[in-house]
Amino acid sequence: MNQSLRELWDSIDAGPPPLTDVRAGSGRVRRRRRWVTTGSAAAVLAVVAGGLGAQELGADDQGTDVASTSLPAAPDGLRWVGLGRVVVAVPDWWTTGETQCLAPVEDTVYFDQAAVAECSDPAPPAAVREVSALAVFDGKSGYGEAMLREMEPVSEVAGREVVEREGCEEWFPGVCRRFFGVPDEGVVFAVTIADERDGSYEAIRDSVQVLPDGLATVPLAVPAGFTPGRGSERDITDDLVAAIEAAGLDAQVETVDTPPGDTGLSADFRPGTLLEVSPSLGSVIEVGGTVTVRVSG
Amino acid sequence: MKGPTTGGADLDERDFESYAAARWPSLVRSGVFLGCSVEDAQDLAQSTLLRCHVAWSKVQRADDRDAYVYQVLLNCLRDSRRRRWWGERPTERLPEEPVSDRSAEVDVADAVHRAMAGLSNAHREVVVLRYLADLSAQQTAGVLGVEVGTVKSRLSRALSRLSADVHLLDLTEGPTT
Repeated sequence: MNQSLRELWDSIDAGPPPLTDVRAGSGRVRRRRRWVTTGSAAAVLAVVAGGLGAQELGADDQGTDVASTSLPAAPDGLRWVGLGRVVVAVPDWWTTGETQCLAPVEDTVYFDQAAVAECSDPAPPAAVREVSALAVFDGKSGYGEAMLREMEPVSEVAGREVVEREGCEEWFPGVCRRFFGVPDEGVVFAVTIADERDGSYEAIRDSVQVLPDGLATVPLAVPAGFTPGRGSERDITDDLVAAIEAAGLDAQVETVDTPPGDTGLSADFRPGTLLEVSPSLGSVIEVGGTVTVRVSG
Repeated sequence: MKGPTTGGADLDERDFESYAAARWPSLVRSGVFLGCSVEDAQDLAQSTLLRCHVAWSKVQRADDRDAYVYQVLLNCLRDSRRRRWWGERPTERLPEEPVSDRSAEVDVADAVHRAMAGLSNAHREVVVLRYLADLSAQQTAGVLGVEVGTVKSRLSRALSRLSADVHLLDLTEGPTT
């Protein structure tokens, strides 16, 4: 059997490699990509010139005007969020990192690369089924990399291929999510839409942008592979501050003291517990900008 | 006089040509074993090399060049299966050679397809990559996005199935008439 398979293999006359045709075809693809890239840039400039510039980015908490670069404003009711230099527009009411044992329990954006090794309080399945969410993966490792292998090109953005996976994955009983990514930037997104009023997979996929020079995103995760949220303990907060600084951003930690008798913002939290991050994790910021991390005192 | 950039581009081009020439037969044969006619397999291999040529610097930087290229080949094949159409690729010149009698190629491809028909796509891919294209188990696992153990078990099951395949037995034993 081995012999006959090999014989069949060897008996196939492949002919000479069509190198001339490959070179010619490659030249056409490159010319088309240059045209697409130029066209995209022109479209962005046109939007900016039309008064819809990056005012959405507006002023950050420090009052720094970041409207000088050419990321178009997110349409009304949406906000940009992403990883590295890739962002998509999601409804602006979607929160960041509202998960329970790595499963979303509100409409939220979260990084999904950690392993659930131990989870004493898993999210109620009904809660997970009712929410829409954007899960973000590192396309250079683990699950994200494996997903990228199963994707096929669907479009381009700024000269990079946008790829998507056919069908959807039932990653949680009764919950289906669809994947797309930008392999050159090593980013994969998984979109779950529980209610059509929350938006659509296609709209999120088609909104994808690669940030121009001068802009970056606030890290969406700590090195352990998840998005920390309000109530994360001191060691996680420390990891987050380190991740922000490693991304070339300035992390400013503010301690919020709880007045005696107050049962509000930081009550019941041990000192150093994460309360809030501004701009929020995954949002767009100027390269070298300041991220304020508020912790309980 | 060629400047350093042009010289670098020439080196890249020579590197691509050398690689493409060496791998062309294997890419075409892989296509046939994955279910294509010889002609479609040539188109598949050409599409694969075209994608690689466009991003040759990326291929050169890949940890494992062969694994990367076979990954592109499988992506092209899956893409074409979804569209059921290979698309026309205009060429800048007419074919110089007259069309030859391809009945022998058709016979070979037909024999391959009959032999491989009993395998699932997943098993067929493992046989092609690991057994015929000579990728290592590690490379094959990387291309298919599965564990090395999965590659081994799939290969074992596929070869076991092939060993009992009547079409391959026919090929081994020759005509029964």
